[in-house]
Amino acid sequence: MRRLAIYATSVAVVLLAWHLISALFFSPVLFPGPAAVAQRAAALVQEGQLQRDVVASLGRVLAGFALGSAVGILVGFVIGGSATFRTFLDPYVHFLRFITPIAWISPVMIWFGIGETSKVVLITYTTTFAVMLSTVAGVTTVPRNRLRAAQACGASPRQIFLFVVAPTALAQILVGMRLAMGYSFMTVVPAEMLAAESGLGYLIIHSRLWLATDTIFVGILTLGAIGLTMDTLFRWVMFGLLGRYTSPA
Amino acid sequence: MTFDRVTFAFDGDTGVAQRRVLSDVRLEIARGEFFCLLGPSGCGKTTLLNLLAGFEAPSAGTVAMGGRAIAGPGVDRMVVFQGDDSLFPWLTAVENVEFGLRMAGTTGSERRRIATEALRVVGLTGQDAKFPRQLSGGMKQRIQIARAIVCRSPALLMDEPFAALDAQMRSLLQDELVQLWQATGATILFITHDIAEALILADRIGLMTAGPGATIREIVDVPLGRPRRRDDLEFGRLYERLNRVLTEEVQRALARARA
Repeated sequence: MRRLAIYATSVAVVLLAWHLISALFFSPVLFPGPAAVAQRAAALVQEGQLQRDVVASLGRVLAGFALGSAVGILVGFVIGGSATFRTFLDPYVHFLRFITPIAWISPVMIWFGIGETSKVVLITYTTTFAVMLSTVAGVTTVPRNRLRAAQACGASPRQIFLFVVAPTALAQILVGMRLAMGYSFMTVVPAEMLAAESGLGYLIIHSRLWLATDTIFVGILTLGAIGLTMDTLFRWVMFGLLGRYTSPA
Repeated sequence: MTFDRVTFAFDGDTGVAQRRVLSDVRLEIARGEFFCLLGPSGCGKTTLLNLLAGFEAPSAGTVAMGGRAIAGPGVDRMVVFQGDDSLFPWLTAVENVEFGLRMAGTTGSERRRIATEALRVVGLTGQDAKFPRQLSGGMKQRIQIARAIVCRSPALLMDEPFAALDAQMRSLLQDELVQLWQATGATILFITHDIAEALILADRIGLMTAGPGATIREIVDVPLGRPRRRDDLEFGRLYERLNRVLTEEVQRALARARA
């Protein structure tokens, strides 16, 4: 209850500050206030434009995120399970880590066209790395005594993987997936800005041509809102549904 | 259990010189015996246990149980570890205890029955549904013991299981362990650096030399009746004798470290 009150106060304070700053210091065309943005958002919803863009962006994010998580977990388990593999791939992992997905937009568009595939590929790329690295971390930090206890209990290598390694790694994997969800949102926007005819990134870049700052704000705030919603959902799964795996020992 | 001229050294890879931990260890532990290994920290006691558990293989010599050489870990030699990191934190107390039965394919209701009984034996009735993080250090060690006894293994290998507990909890668990041992007839190899603990528990005590290249210096019979009392005169006399030897080994280790 107290928390809720603090949240509400925080939102009210920020909205008020936003209103005051835009009203007192800027022309509404350059920096629209909360009322103007809300009005514009309502209009976009009525036209059906905002829903279409949200569905387009979210669809790309979820497709790439799901695919990237699956690949990341799979590759992470393989690399995590073999020291040779780990050493073999180590230089590439840390080399590629520094290349932002945005740098890949051009070649990816050349290879996969300007359709949906190229966006999903970029998001998959981003997600795969984050999830793979966290999976490797999870697999390689299983306490030795935990493995030995399972061996002494008669567990086969397959059983050790299923009942000891995978559950131990799950907490780390979820941490990586949560980060990757954020990276996916950060990737989808520039991809849509450069090559798309739908999505929130497209909405934002396209509105620039008409100096529609209110629409741009709607796009930016919507991004934050759906990001926050996804993260809340994720946290609920991570700490609620899967809480027994994520609680600190 | 037998150790026949057992030597163990870590592989000297990546520039580190090969490190000899144990050399020429000879030891025989009888079926049903309670044997304590006593020695200064870092002397190789745990390595000796790991060889018997099958977690490590000897560099030379043979380790065997019941006449058969140890080829790897197995349910006939359950291990109780020092810390609590061997428990499965995502499983409840009873699920942790069931683990070995689950691996063996015992049906759900049957293994729940056996595990609940094991929890009762170690005094954890009513704690079945709690997770390890919700239990105290003493309770967690009881879970480990329960997890080890459900498989009815003839041997129990315990690596300083009570070292991290407070003194009261430790002596309580020591007494309970002796009762459990008397009830099951299992062979127990128990590692400790606590002389009083060894005297309360053991039929015989193996005293180890300071490492590196440690071996068993002598084996001391404990001719005390059970249940044992810490204020027994003979207990005090044995304590003094063991303490003298152990101090000598610790000083030797220190001198070697300084040299």
